Amino acid sequence: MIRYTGKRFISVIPVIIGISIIAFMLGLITPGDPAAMALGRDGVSQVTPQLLENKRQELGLDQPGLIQYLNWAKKAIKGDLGKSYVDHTSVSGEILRRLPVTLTLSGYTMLLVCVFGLLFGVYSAAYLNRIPDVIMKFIMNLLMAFPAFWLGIILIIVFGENLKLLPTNGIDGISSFILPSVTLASANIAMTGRLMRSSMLEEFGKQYMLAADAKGIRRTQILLFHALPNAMLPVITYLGSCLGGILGGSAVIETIFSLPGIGSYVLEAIHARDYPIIQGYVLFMGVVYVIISLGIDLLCALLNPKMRLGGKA
Amino acid sequence: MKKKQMIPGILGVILLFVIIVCSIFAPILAPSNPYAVDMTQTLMPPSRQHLMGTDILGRDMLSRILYGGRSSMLIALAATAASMLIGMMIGTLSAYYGGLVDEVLMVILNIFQGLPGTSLMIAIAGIMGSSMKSLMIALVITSWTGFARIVRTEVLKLKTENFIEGLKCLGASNGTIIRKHVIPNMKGNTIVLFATRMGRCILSIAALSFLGLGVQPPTPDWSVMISDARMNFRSSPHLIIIPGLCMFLLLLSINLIGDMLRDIFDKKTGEAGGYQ
Amino acid sequence: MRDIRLDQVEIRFPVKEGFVEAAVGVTTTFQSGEITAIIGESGCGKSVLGLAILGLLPIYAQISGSIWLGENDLFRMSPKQMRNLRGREIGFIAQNPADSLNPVRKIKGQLMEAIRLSQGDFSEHNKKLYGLLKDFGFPKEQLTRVLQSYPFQLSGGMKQRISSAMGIASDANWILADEPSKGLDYDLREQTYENLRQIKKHGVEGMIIITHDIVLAEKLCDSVAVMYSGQIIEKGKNVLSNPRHPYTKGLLDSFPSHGMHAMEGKSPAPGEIMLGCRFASRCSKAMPVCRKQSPTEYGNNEEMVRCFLYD
Repeated sequence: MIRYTGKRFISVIPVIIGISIIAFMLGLITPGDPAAMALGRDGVSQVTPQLLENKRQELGLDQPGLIQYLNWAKKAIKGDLGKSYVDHTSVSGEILRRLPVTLTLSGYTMLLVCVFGLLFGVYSAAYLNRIPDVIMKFIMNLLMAFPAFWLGIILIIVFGENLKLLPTNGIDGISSFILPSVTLASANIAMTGRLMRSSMLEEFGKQYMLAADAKGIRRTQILLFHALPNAMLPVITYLGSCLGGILGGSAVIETIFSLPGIGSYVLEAIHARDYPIIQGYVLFMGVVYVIISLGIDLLCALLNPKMRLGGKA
Repeated sequence: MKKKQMIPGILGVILLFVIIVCSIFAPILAPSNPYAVDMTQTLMPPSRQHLMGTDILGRDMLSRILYGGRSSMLIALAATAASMLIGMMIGTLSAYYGGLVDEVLMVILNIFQGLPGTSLMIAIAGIMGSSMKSLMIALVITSWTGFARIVRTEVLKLKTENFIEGLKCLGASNGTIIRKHVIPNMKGNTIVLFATRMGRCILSIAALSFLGLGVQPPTPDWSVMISDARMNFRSSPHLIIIPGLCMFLLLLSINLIGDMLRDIFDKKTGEAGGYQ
Repeated sequence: MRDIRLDQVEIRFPVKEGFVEAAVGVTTTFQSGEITAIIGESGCGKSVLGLAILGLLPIYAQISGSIWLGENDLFRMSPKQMRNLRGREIGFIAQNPADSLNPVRKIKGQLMEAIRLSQGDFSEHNKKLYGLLKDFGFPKEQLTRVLQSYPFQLSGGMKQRISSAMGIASDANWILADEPSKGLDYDLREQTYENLRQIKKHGVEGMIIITHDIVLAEKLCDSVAVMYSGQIIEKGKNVLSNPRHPYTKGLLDSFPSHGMHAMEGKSPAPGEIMLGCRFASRCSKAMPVCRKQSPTEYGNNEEMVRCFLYD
């Protein structure tokens, strides 16, 4: 286990470097000359070659790409993701300020996905090819085909505007997160449910299930204490990648429901062409995602006794 | 039993066929020009003249709906095909040559797989500006890894089989072996992944277009139409519901086809036995 | 004391080209107080027969006939009744103990699950758990460690012993062992024989051992039934020492302990429709009648052979 943990930690390093390179390169491909744009923001209307040259030196743009990257990365490690072009606030400060909103939204969403995904999957598998299974399969197919933003708007119309049950705008306690997290969770619930179902079915065919059944213990006992613990392992790994989609997808949902999270921050930045924010967003989300994946992998290893106690495999 | 299982898939094929035919023949089927603005007839409810009503600029909804799937379907198809080609190339190279080539390519693959897809897509489309090119790049960057992985696994499996050794002894070139033996063997998995990725790409394009980072107005597009109609949903909810339903049906048909393909090619998960 | 009586048991599995017949009109009695072995080549239907007795056939299997345990017809019982019967009435020892234990659960939980089905309260169950393990040769100082282990932490022999203990954990009257010695090396096989003897000592009413292992049948079993292509073709107490059916002779000769003389020909493919005796095409003593008519059973319930030679 210790060896596995170490190995897994080391494997994260190239991924984080890769993400930082991509985030840095996003800054390079921005349209226009950054020096000229910086001058424009400073209020210089008459751009002379001399001024441009000075600005370039000031921003470090005259140095080779690698040096620029290292300088940028050094700052990023210290937590400095640069300043917004528009209002000159610190990008990392603003991200941290908005982080709780995004994390709350993602957290509730993950909770829904875990609970209902597992429930639907196990239920469906328990009634394989019978009516409940057919109905569940149908529902999961429907959920997977709803574009999240459309579902969000429909939910706002129905629950917010018509029934006036739930808030649909801004943050007003936990109830503000109900509709957004349901919207964000729906497709993920369906995918997790389907995976859970097929993972359960795979376990059904194994010898230990036959042996457990021959013991004469109750059906629910077999499903929950024999099949489920084994079937859950691949699903947990999947949930990790699912979380990546949820973090990214929260941008759309935050916009629809006017939640002041990181996603809506970056979308505002995109419309204002505020590139440092976009760059910082990619780096931050990338690192968060990598850390979460790492955590989930380790959790999986911990849940698997063979990995935890160091078996042969 | 076998036939009964095929029904959803066949429905999916029919549905997709109808959607594609409508999109291809939109210029013939559409009652009027989807770009024609008529400020005297804005936000009209469905009527004989405009079967689906008109939008805020008085454009005929039916015509816009017929045209509305074209761009996202085309971009999704192109992006998925490009991802598949790149993925196959890298996967085959990696497995076939092994050693250092494999290691380097796998590190790169791991990096790309470790990226948060949706966030990256938003950032790329955001920074590069909304254009076909930036959409394509954003989609390909986030979806080639899946193809590379299954192709690599498949080639590795084949490499250990004796007949490939035999072919090499007979003097077959690497290119011939890859073309004639490796590619036909991995058809099934790849086709299934293609369908899955296609659905994902359409969803991503839709989300980006909705955010204003994908297909741009005035091009008729279902997501853009939904986004435009958000302010008027009280007076004309059909402007949101109809394009949403179209997108839903398109995604549903692709998902159903994907399931059918999985049943056909992936014999492992044939659900023969239940559990009583 | 209740026998297990099979009456015209037919088991078929639907396949693409029709049906595969795993059991064709099997009628026999497994006497209580005896250990009966069912031997035969793989694919002859012996394991399917075992699963049928436990009611564990897959749902798509088509069955007819009756399996009587005392007054109960097992084929007419509801899934729930069958579930109550498994473990309590008929205990099962699965083949390949390494795969028969749940890989992510501790031994204690898996054993307790079965023990809890038997009479008694918590403290009795606990006592029984330790008693069982002691009976199967786990030294006292190892017990706690073994119970807190996952299957992968135990040796093959230990898993075999746990698996055998599992079979009698809920005080079953009958024990059904499905190829208990399959794929095990010499030492483990010897240990398995010992375990089965231990089970017998535990006071079960009767045992059915489905096996491919002639040594096991010789050492432990009172009576042997030989299965070929879905039929029991010979049964009796002296089958191994004095085989009567040509197939039994051939089968015994093919075992390593009997000179390993392979039989000519192959078993009919499952689902192959045949006229006459199913063994006729491979039989050196086949007569014209063998190819036209299917032989009936000659003899009585306890000593039976299905061959025209004994007409």
